Amino acid sequence: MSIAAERIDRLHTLARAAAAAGEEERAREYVRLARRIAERNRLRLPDEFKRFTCARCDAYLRPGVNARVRTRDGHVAISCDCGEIARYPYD
Amino acid sequence: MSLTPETLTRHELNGLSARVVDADNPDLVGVAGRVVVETQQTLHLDDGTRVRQVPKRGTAFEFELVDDDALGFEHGADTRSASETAGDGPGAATEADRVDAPTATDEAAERRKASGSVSKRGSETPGVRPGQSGSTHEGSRDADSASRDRQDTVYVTVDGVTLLSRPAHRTETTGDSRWR
Repeated sequence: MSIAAERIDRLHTLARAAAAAGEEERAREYVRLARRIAERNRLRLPDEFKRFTCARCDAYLRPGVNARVRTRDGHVAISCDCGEIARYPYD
Repeated sequence: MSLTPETLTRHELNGLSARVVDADNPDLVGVAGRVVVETQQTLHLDDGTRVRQVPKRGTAFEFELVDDDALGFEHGADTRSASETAGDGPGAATEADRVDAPTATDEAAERRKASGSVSKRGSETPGVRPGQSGSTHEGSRDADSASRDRQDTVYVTVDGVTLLSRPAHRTETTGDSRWR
């Protein structure tokens, strides 16, 4: 695992911890930094990271707190408080 | 490539415990806490009551590397020893030198050995912290060879100048974009 991939992993954990501690803006900065590292090092973000972050406002999503998860026909829809809806299939 | 003393300057600093062992600004010496924010020129250390913003330039930081730390990352002991032995080649001195720029090369080599055999030293030096305003080199020597509370903890002293770069760019060895 490259250093960049590890940094992304670490930032994911930090963002989750910060969001759980009520530091939403700090979690956002961690998410942005992880995205930037992935971009610069041409790495794919982990699926779990993609599903728990908002693509529009970079918030770390906590279902029931700042995100709603609904199971739809053929896909899961998760909507952030900012209004962004992400959908991903069952599999 | 786990988080080792060699890779620290290119690795993620957020979330690590750090302490200021020497600084141009005497008021900042002794500031300790978790790194919560990193910018191009500063680190923000959260000491539990407040967040202190410390410039990287002119500051020596002592980072606490816990092998199996609270973040839930498992750096297997075998991977670390593998990287340690791999570093014993001809490039070892320069690698260690790059991590800890101000110290002499042989001192850095000594520190590498110390970090490798750290689990044996755990009980020898309980609770000895280097003096807060003592000279840098003494402090870093003490800090590096001593593992105080936990067996897998390694203390690495880094000159802040080696950390001067944008947080997202620090991982890249060249320092410049590969697209240029």
